[in-house]
Amino acid sequence: MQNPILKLWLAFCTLLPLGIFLLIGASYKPPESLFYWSWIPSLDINFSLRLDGLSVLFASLISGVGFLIQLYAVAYMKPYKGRAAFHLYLTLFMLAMLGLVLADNLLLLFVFWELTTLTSYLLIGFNHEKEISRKNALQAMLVTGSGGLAMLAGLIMLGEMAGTYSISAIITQGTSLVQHSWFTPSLLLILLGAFTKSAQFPFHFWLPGAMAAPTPVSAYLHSSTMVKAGIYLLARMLPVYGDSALWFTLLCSAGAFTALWCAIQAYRQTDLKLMLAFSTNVILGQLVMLIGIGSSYAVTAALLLIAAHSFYKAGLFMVVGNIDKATGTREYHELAGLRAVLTISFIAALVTAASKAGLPPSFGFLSKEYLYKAGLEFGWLLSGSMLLANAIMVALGLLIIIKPFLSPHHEKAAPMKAIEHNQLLWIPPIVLALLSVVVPVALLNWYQGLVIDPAAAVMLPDTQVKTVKLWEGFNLPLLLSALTLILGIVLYVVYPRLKPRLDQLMSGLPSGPGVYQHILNAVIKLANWQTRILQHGHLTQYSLQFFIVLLAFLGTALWKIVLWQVHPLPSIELDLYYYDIILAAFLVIAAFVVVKARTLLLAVAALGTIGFLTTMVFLVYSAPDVAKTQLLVETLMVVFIAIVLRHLSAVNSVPRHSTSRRLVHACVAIGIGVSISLALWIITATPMNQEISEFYAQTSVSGGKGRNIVNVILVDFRAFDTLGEAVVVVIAGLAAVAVMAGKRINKLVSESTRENR
Amino acid sequence: MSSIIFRTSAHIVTVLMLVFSVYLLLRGHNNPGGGFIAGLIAVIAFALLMLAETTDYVRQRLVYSPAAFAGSGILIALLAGLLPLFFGQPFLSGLWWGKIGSPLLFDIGIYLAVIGSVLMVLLNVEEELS
Repeated sequence: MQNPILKLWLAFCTLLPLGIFLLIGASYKPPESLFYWSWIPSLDINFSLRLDGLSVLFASLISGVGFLIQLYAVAYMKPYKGRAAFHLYLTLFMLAMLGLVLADNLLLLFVFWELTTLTSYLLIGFNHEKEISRKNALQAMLVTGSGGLAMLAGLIMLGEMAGTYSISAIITQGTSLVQHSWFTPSLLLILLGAFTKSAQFPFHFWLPGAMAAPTPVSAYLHSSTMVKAGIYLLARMLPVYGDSALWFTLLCSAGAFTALWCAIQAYRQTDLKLMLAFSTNVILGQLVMLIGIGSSYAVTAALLLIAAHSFYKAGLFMVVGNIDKATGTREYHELAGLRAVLTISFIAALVTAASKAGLPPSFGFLSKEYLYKAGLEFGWLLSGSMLLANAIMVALGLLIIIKPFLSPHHEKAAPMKAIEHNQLLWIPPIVLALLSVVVPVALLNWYQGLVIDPAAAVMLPDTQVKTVKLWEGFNLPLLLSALTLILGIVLYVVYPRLKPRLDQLMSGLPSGPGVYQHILNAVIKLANWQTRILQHGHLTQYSLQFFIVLLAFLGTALWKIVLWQVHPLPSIELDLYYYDIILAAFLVIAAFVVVKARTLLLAVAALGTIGFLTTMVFLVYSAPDVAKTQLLVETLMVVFIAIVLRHLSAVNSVPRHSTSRRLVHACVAIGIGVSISLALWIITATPMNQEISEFYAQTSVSGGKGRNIVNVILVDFRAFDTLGEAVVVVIAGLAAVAVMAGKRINKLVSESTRENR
Repeated sequence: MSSIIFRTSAHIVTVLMLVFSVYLLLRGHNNPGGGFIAGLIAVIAFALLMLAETTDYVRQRLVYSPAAFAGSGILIALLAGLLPLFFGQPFLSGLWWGKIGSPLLFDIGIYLAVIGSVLMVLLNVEEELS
């Protein structure tokens, strides 16, 4: 930390989220505040931000937890190279995430959605020297990115159905879109986006894979931000899609199955970080299920669970990061007696694990009570599966606390070193642990008034939610909580015997990463195959391909016209002068010379003749600027060819192709010639629309202040096109130089001429 | 190419062509000409010089690398496009002060971009082959 600029940068990165957090708090006026800038009004894309109950919950979690994560990362990333870049990525990710939850325009939301995908790629792949990091970062990006594309299609459908891209305007239309024929497709596509982002089965596998990232990233992205983006989208769309049966069925089944499946997976892990990763999948599944149910209790439970999970999961991830730092391992079997060196982290771990396990009076307990309340309204199947998933969470909480921290340190366990002299490593988790208890005990009314009521009003416009209470007497949910706890303890006790059984049982099942790898390989194979076919590197073949495609399109169009008599072939009154005939005759002769030439020099000279004759044609038909350009381009061609021939006398004979190949070339050439002539015949005979040229002729002087219409078009009316073309010219020049670099041109030329022979 | 007549006249013709290309560039808005054509003429002028002398000679006379010409050309064209934004008009609208206007600046950018990129290829081909 000697470098003052680095110090300043770290301070900035840390204070920015805090500033945003305070700004959000200051500018939030329930029920909502709007910020609006016009961006591309013609496409109904506006930079409009909306701060309402739902987005304030997410935005304050993102900036608040973001502040703690940045603090933690300052300490955690100290030994890493490129830590300044790490904080940059983290900050960019946070801004993208904030944009996502604040956007009030569907397409703006999509832009930020993809930005989170991109920035998370940089974060997950931060240890890019390791192959596994690169691979898993790519996997996360491909899975969430392809889901994002599906979602874009869905969002556009939704926008077109509603006639507006403003989210708040769409939500006020409520469920009136159900009748539209695009309703179901758009629902499915948007779900695909949300499910991939929020790691629902069968897309769940990228999230544990993303654990290759440094721990601060996991603590931030995979607890409270990125994976919650899908949850946010679903919560936003609840008023629109919530009434449909498909929504209920899909979300409940996908959510419940993900929760149960990933809970079992989490139970099988021995790496503490992977346990946490899979248990994040569990929570995401439960949230999806709750939003699918969409009742008053379910929405309350979801709003509690989002915050509760963010607090305890980020805290636990940081504790695991500290364990990693102190011992160099995260393997369950190698850890023991950590309490001695990680005293404060242990307290944080104890409280957050209690919240994770759902012990009263933690935030996790509260959200679990409401989860059961919501589940019980829909029968035993949902609540039963949630009970099992939660019991496994209890077992996981015990696993993380008891053996690593409480058991006595023994010889086989990993050696430990003290790290807690660096306060930044334990302040953030302890703050999160405190929040996990303080909010439900002391600040529940405040949370209700500021978050639950306004957010529920957005998600369920017609329903009034009940006041959340920590203690509601003895009732069925409380009984289920007790059951969960008992079952969890049982699962903890049988863990050493049950785990090998489970591993044996599940070893035959196809794994998510395996299937993903198969699909990826197939795509790469397909790409290679088509590249081999189309990109063979032979110039003659390229031009042949190009002309065949051109012929196919032109031919079919002309075929229709001639055969079906769509337009009768017009007759043209030929208005020929003697110079027209002379020019045409010379053009034909020159073309024949090109074809029959035996030496390259003759062929080039004849080709040049054609070019100059074309210039003459332009001159005759009074297009001086075009003629001039053509003339100059031809001259340059001659210069280039002169240079090549001067140095490469070896290529000065035209290779002779086989007869069959010449026949193919002849057919294509004649076909192109005939169809172009036919097309020109038809085009020139139809009366031209003079409107555009007249517009230019009239406004050239008044609007463009120039009498040369061609030039005024180039530099004024259509200057944007010209700018693009100039960029293309420069890029082509750079590319040509790059291809020639390394003195390979001689080899290239001799190779290509040999192959053509 | 070592003929003394060619070499001597090439220097004179190059200068004349460069002057002519600037003339074409400036008159382009009202008469046949313009940045693209003028740029091509300038390139041909340099090509002539290159054939009479060496690529190193041309590079020395250019002072800056062709890539720098190409890049600054694009930047100048962009600048001409951005200028109107400060006057509350859309990107690339023409601004005029008497006879001088932003389209001329734009055309100068195109002129430099064409010269830079074509010369870049031309000089490289010659260098790689010899």
